[in-house]
Amino acid sequence: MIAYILKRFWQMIPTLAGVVLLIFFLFNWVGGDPALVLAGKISNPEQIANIRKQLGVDEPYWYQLWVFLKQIVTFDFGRSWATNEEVSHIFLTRLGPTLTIMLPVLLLETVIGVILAIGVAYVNGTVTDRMIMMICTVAMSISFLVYIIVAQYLFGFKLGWFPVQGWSESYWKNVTTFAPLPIMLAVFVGLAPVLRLYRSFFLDEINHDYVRTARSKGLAEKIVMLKHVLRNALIPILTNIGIALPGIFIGSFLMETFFSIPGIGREILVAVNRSDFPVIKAATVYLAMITMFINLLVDVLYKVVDPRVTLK
Amino acid sequence: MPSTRSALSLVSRITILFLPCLLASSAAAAPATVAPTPADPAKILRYAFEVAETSFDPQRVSDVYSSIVNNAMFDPPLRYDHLARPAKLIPNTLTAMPTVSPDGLTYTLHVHPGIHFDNHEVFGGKKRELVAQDYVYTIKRLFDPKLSAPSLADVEGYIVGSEDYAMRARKANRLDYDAPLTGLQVLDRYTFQVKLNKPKPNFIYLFADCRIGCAVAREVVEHYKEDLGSHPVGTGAYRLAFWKRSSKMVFEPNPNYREEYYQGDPAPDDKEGQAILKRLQGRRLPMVGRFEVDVIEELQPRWLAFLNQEHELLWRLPEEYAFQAVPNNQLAPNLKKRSIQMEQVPALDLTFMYFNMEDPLVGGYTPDKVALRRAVSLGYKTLDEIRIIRKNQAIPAHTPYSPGVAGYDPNFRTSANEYAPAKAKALLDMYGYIDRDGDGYREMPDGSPLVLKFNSTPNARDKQIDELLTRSMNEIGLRVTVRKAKWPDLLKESNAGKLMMWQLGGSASAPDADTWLTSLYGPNAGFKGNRARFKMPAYDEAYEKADTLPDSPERTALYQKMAKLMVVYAPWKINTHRIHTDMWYPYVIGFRRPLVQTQSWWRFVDVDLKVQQDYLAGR
Repeated sequence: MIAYILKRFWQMIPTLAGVVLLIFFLFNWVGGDPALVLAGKISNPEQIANIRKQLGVDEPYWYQLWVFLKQIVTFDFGRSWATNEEVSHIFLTRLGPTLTIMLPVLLLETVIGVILAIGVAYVNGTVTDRMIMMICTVAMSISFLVYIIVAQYLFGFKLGWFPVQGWSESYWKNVTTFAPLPIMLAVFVGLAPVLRLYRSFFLDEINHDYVRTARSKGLAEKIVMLKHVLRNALIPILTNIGIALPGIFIGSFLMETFFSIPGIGREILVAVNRSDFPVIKAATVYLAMITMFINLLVDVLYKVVDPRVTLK
Repeated sequence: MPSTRSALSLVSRITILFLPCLLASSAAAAPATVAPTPADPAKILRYAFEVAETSFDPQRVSDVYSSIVNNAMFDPPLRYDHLARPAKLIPNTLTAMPTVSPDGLTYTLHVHPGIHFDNHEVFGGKKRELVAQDYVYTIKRLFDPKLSAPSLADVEGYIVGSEDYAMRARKANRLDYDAPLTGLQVLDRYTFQVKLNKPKPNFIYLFADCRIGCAVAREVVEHYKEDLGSHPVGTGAYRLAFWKRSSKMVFEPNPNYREEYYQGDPAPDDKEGQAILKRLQGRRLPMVGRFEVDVIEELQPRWLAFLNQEHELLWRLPEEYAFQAVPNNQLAPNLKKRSIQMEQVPALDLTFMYFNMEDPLVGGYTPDKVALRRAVSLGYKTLDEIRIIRKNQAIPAHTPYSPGVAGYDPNFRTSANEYAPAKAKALLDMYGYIDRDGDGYREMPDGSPLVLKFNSTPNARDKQIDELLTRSMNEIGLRVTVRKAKWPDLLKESNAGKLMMWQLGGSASAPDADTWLTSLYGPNAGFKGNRARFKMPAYDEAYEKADTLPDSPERTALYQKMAKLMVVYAPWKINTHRIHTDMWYPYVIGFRRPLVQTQSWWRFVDVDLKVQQDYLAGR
């Protein structure tokens, strides 16, 4: 196991190197000149040259890349070009609101998704099953943005059940007042694809021989579904959660923007619009590393869930 | 008759009797410790910005929203009278308006004694007075290469010695704050002088611009260094009480704020201004005890938060809701029923398209090129842009400067926004721009392809304008291609003279027509704002002469001459002046949108708690 983990750490290096080169290339050849953004509409060549010097973008490309690599190793990406705030401080302060929303969303989506999926898989082929699948398909066809706009208008404004927008310094107030609407909305929207996917996992298992054997041995359906089918379907479910996990650290920029949640997603969107490279760099590297670590964690968890799995 | 000894004794007794009174009265006459501002903490005003703030370092920022909050926390030497229309400069921290030497080169400014910064540990437990040196230091900061102050271009080259000063600082990559700048001198504790290389009457506006003139204390700057933008310490009416960056800002009154009372100078026929003055005159400022500003980029939540009374004021109604909120520019009945107040103000603003005068296809000063540009102008449907795209939240522009600025004459009109497709076609036919191959689109007089390359940014608004332009030009037989690129890329290419056409817009930072006219001045081609690269000796001559004149009929005549030249040669197709619509609940008293957007209005408004309680109870 240790050898496997070490091997996976070693493999992260070329992956991260690829990410670094890609983001560096994209920014320098495709991204806008940040000096022009900061200089304003009226400036002069000397002012722009000075800004480029202060930002370090007048240095040779190899030197800029070297600085980038040093920043990754030291986890110090400097300061935002637009606001001069320390990049590490940006992420530290924004992570809380993002996780406040995204963790409950993932949890609820998974639990509710599994429960519903197992039920729908059980009644596979019936009118109920078909109706639910049709509803899911329709629900998935509607843009998330539409849901946000309608839900905010209906539940926030018309019915007044929740505030239209906002965030507080009090965790409890956020959890009880500002977070419920975005969380419910995200869970509602995320359930449709999750339900369809998990249903297919359960159906795969239900059709296996061991289930037929268990039934023929007289085991109760409840035990067949919840003990045997569920256990075996957990592996692909875990994989799906693993794929979704890095996303909770970035958040949903749409939700954060519409509900004025000061999270990482919104911050990244602002940084991209401002060509704020330190923030963009940090976010990309941060997300790449989280994804790789979570993938490793998920692979290790496979072993726990299914001892037959060999890690090599 | 009393004896001398008894008379003296009487005097002594009288003196002893009245001495406390004498002492008390002399204490009242001397500058007393100012009582804290009486702003009621229960008076809270909440509203939203559509763009996040960037920094609370006044000299570091260029965006409007950061400037608005900085203007509430810091003080420039001058400000605009809150009620006066048109805009009128008045002293803010000065004892009087700056004295200008007869040659127009030297400005002498006297700072009012007794103005203090907010408390801070760096002041060693003492109250820190605002002095002339603070303003000199503040202006010098613009030259600090590490600050990369966006407003440096407004002073560099204008103040005596500033070009050398800037060059030395860039070379050393640091500014020596103690090195003298010839054109910036402290004369005494409260007096400083600014000397210019040549007369420029409009320079005075810079003393009201927070990005240039909002005073910071050197001790605070040196204490916080790069973190200054997160730790504002100013002399303004408000100070930062709470801050969640890009999310929420809360401001409370500055306990050291000077004694200031509400006054204003609305025009005699300005009923609304007169009513506000009557109600608030003589009130001690600030009046509102707390400002809460949320950052809400999206339109719907900003609009709904106001309707839901999560905000007391809606700063700039999103155009997308104009038909709903102000159909035909009248307050909607449902909002009127809720006693919501509304004000629509034509902004000091202009939107326009420019033609690159050095472009081989559309540029040039010969009749055929002028005809092509005039035809584009005549064929563009500005009224459709106003009605459909801007939802009637704009008015057609007749001059390359907006109403409400010095130099604007409401009786002066040009044909800048004439829509006459028949004339456009006739012009094009006359100069040989005809459809030779029968594809419905005209070619150049020599038969080569005629394709107008229009540039724009990838957002919803610009997409609509692209479509309108394409449709308008199709009707007169001109082919348009649209190229999409991000703002910094377009700016870079524009500075380099590589764009054929681009639509721009902008608000004035000073209430003077020069704000826009400078962008057609030949030597300003490229970086300095003349993106059309328009170089016309007659225009330049008029501009140079106007630049040395104060606001006067003579200068207005020169501005009008420049406007006519612009219409004739058409380096710009001017389109609209945008309208800003603000709304507030009836318990917000005295709100008036400043004509210059970055000015602070916070200390001039009040919240009527009784009206608010009644309003909320009745809802």
